[in-house]
Amino acid sequence: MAAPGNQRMNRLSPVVIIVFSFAAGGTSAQINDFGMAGVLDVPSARMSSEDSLTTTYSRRDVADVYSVNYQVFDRLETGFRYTIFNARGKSPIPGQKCPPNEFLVCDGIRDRSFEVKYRLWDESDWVPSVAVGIRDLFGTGAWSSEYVVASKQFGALDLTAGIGWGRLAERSIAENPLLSLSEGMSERGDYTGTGGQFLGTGGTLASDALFRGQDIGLFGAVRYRLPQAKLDLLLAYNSDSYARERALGSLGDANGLSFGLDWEARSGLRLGLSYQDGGGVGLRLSTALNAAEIPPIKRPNGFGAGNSIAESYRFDSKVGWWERMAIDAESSGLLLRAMKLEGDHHLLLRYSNMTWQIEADAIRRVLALVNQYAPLSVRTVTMTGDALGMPSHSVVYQRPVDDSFSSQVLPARLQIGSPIDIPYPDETRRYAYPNGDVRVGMNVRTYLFDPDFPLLYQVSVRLQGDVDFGSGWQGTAVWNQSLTSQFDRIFRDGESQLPPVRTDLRRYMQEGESGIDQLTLTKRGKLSRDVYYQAYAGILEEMYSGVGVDVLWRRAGESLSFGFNVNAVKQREFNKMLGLRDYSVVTGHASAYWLTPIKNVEVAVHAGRYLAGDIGATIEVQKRFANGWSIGAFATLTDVPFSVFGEGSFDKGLIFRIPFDLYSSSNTQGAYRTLVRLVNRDGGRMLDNWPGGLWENMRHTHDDFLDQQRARMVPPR
Amino acid sequence: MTRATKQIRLLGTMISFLLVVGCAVRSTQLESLRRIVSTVGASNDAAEYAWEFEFNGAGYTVYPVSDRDGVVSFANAEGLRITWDGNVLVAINGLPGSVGHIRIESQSDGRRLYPLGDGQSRSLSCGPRRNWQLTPARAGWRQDCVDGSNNPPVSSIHEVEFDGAGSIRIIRATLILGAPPATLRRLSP
Repeated sequence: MAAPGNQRMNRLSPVVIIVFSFAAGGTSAQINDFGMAGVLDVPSARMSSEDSLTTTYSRRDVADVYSVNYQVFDRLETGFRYTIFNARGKSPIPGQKCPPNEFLVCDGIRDRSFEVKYRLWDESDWVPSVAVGIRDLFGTGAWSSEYVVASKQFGALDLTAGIGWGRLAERSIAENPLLSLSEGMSERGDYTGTGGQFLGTGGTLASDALFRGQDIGLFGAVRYRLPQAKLDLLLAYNSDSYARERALGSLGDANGLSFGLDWEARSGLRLGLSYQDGGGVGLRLSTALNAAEIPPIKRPNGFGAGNSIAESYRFDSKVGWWERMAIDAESSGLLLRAMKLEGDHHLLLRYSNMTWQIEADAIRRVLALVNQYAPLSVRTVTMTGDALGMPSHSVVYQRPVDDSFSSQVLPARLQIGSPIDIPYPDETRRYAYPNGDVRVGMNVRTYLFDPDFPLLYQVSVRLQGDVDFGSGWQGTAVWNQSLTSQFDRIFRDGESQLPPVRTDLRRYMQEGESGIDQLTLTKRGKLSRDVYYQAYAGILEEMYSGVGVDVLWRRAGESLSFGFNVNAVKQREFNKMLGLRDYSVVTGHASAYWLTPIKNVEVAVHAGRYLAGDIGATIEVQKRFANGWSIGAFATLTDVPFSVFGEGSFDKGLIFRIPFDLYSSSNTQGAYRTLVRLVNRDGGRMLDNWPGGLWENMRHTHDDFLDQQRARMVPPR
Repeated sequence: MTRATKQIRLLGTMISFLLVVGCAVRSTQLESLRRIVSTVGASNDAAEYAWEFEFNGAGYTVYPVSDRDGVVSFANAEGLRITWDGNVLVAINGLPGSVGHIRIESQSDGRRLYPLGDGQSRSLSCGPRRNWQLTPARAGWRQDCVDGSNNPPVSSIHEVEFDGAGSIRIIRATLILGAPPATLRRLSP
């Protein structure tokens, strides 16, 4: 989507993703300048391994491209990119620089686009791998092109050839074969072809352009691997003549040929250097990680020799095994809240996981302590864990009788199910209430895709206090203290025909540079074994205060869960203190969550009333992994017409959740969750990050994740 | 050189000194000690001497030192001290968590007295050592102790594994009945 003019904001988002991409090696294919598998500036039929997340920066005369590519399935590759055309401001007038925002004279387009590629055939001895792709699926057509491409490897040589439509047909070689299907296929929608500067408003599927046009072009590439040097020699012929960019003077005459080198500096990190079509040197940096990677089991934080345990709890004292086990659990980042011994052989435990990202690791730690301390007469252990302080799942474990019990057979002896109450425990750990903690952390917030400043940021200190009052009552306060901010450079206000429920973002970021981000009192509990609720009141998020309730039905073994929330909220003053503005609304949604049969893929649908009073539904599709990563996309359609909604036509974006645990030497439940919106508009908007959702915050304890991690629950043997 | 590096080098030097000039050792344990000493080499780098002690999910780096009467001990600066008599781990001090200290007592009739996690103890009868050879690079001996007279039955193990050069690379031994054995693993190749 092009045509800047509205607010776009995210906290960290691509910056964080790029940083984390450095943190772990992945398995990416040869990445092209568009961030997809390919060679130089042409696509190939190659793909990365499933769940690879690749971030790429490429710098060329024609454009600088920042992209995030995700291999959704083995055959399906997707990519999101932000393009700054003519980033060095080259003027058509020799020796001059383009003035800022002088779009009429210079190429100054900033463009966001989605690419999708699907592999139709796998490579075999005689048949090449074949893929079909769309380079600008929802965009305004700045990169509008489609292709069918084949790749075949011969030893160290990898050959690619393909035909293209749209821009990839600018160097035409033949008539579009699809014209035989319909005469109308010769007409191509918004795409302007040569020299056009004004592109569409974007946001919707460019169905009137796909595979259309009078002609097709032929492109190709050669890659030669030098595995010893981890170096690839590259040659490409592009059927995109860059006619528009040449017409605007940002590129010299082009003959279609490019060549270059690609070096795998380390696993998951690739550097590219090329001589580009039309002259000029191109640079490319890409990093990859595997979002599905399961980290090794870490040792408990702060547990061990040298860490003080009160002498009165030592083994040679006469303190009972339960107290010692509970003390060691607390030193391991767990709370053992209650215990009941039934008939000397059945131990029921209630535990809380306070530090472990993967619930199976917490269970493993509890079981290790059971093996160490519980009387040998205990043969069966039933552990009930919680999420948000509410019992959420249980695991039944058969304790090994002797050393012949091997870890290979143990997982089958774990039963995972719904939470089991301990109505009359023999022992409970008494925790003083209220208790709580204060956390101080650095926070980086970014404002992306501003036409003048593609990346603006604020660095602040985030001070958070949580108080647990017991019985499900919790208080939370978050203060954000700005240290440095570039947001004062933003001068564009969002224009909207709807109530400005989100497009006043600039004023919140500038007038509320420092302020209260959250101040809430929450009550959580269960209405029955499988029904959870939370009710809350206070300052719910940056822009809204109010009251609300969130209810979730979730049952172990069920692929469907349901929930609803209702919120009565009032808009906050821009200074983010206690004051309120006039606008208020009742907003809420009924939600259905479906764990699809496709591994790690889940779908959520929320239908209801949004902040601007519009009625509609949101669909989210995510791949979510037991390690805490999730990657997905969402889209919202409401009764607001596209023309009223404005740029982008409807609300949509990407979902990322990045767990810190994968990149930390210690156990942590911390994670960064963000929604990357392409355009910040007022239609189809919910409360941000609040209520945070019972579903989202309890998801890690659902039985499908526990089931995937059975082997990880087995305690050390 | 950082302070931590200096401390490591100093510790390494001390360990070398203790290993070279150490106290008199009983002949039955001399071989065991020699096998550990042989892993040290001439380097002054403390990492060369490091062993990893792992018990029930917690692990620590320890260094071998010789102790009085030639019993081999492994220790670290955090107060963890593991005593090995050449056959079994006989005492642990500074064990992680609320365990703290453990002593496994040998009884006159060849049985050994082990603690249980619930504070009780149990006497186990130990069989003869059995040698094994899995691969040219993995050989060792193992001793099993059992007490099947009471329910539930309990057992313990003592295991020493050698590498292809005949040096000890792993020592495994039960410390608490019902809990997994503790493992001492040489970190240097």
